[in-house]
Amino acid sequence: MGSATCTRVIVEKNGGLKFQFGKIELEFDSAEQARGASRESTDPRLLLVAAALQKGTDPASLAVVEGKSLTLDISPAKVLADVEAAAVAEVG
Amino acid sequence: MAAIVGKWGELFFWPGSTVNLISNFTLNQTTDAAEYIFQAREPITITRVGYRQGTVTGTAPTYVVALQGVDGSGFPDGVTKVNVGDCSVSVTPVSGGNSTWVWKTLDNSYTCTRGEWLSLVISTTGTVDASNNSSFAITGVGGVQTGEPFSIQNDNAVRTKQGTTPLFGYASAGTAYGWPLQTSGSSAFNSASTPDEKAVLFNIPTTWWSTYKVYGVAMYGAFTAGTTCDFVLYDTDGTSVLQNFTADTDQDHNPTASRRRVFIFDETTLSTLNAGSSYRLSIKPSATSATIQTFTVGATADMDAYFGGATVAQGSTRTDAGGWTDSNVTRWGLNPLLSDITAPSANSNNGIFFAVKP
Repeated sequence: MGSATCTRVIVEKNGGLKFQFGKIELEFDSAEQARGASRESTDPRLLLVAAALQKGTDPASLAVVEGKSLTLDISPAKVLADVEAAAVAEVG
Repeated sequence: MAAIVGKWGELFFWPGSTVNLISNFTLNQTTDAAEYIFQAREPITITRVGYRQGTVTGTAPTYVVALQGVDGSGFPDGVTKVNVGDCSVSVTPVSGGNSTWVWKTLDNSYTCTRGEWLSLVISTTGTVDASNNSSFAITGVGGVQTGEPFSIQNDNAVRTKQGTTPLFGYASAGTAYGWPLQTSGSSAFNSASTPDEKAVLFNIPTTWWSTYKVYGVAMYGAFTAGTTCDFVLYDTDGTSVLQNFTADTDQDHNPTASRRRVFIFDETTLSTLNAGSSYRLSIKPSATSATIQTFTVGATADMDAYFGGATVAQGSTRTDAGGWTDSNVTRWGLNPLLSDITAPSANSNNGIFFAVKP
């Protein structure tokens, strides 16, 4: 595992989502798609996406994190639930 | 009885992904580049090149999309192909074009040979920084691990080859190649949704073969645990059920995970289908949701880059068993599994082989 810093969240008018990690931008057509991609992943960026989505099921709710920097260090000992809880606190 | 020329095969209308996302690479330094490595599929005159714009930040500079060769290490050779002038084109992304596929006509076309190694390189010498730039799709359709073709993130002259499907395109005047992709996603739906049934509409050309059977379906997506989901083969009228299989999602390794799943129709006798006729193979979830992968292209002609093009296979949906709505720019993660393929009447030596999209 590792760490990921989300520097930008973009909520598109059509419900699409973009999460920027430095020069890399992960793009999803919907929150549902983002959850699906995150569900099985050990990629810290996708875990962070999953954590951000805990803010709510409505993609528009993610607008509250747009422009904020989210940093999440993931150690192998942590389980996803811990990661999500930590990230939710940080996002909020 | 006509000779059987094909024992079985999967029609790869869906090119193979199980987890979709698009990864964009931001070019915010003059030493950055998005690079795509591929072999030309046919000897054509390349007149257009294509890319998917990610996001414009601030005011993007002018980027150059250049057609180059490939060196022995699998990197662009740094030499733009020349035909009178450079085989390249300048583009200035604007925010209105975010998240869309873009075709650009080269300033000078390039005539390639079959199998020639080529690279598409996007870079800039303009004024670019963290506040003024554009990103470009570098990979997509995340579930497929690829070796060839591939893309490269060139980050300040440090190159990293990418392991998932590269999103790029090249085209002659009439035919698109590569992976021209407008959207890539997944769609959760159930019997209360609109639409509540999604299908692949397919019509095999009579020059391919004569008759065949559909023994199963390869579904790319996910389920809800503890429920059922129907897969239905419809006759040409779109309503008469030829075959049906009800999947029990408890009989699954990991039902909520996005996977390739093969289901076999359990009718004692499979229907004989005819080339030249249209059929639909659908997924029809119960009251709890199933998720099916999907992609769209920006224009009908872009579907030429995918198996069958826009005429052999289309996406099709309907609600409450009403009329079907067909889309020739959409594909769903549903592939028919064929058996008992018989030779076309015009040429008994013809045959069809199936493979994952190159």
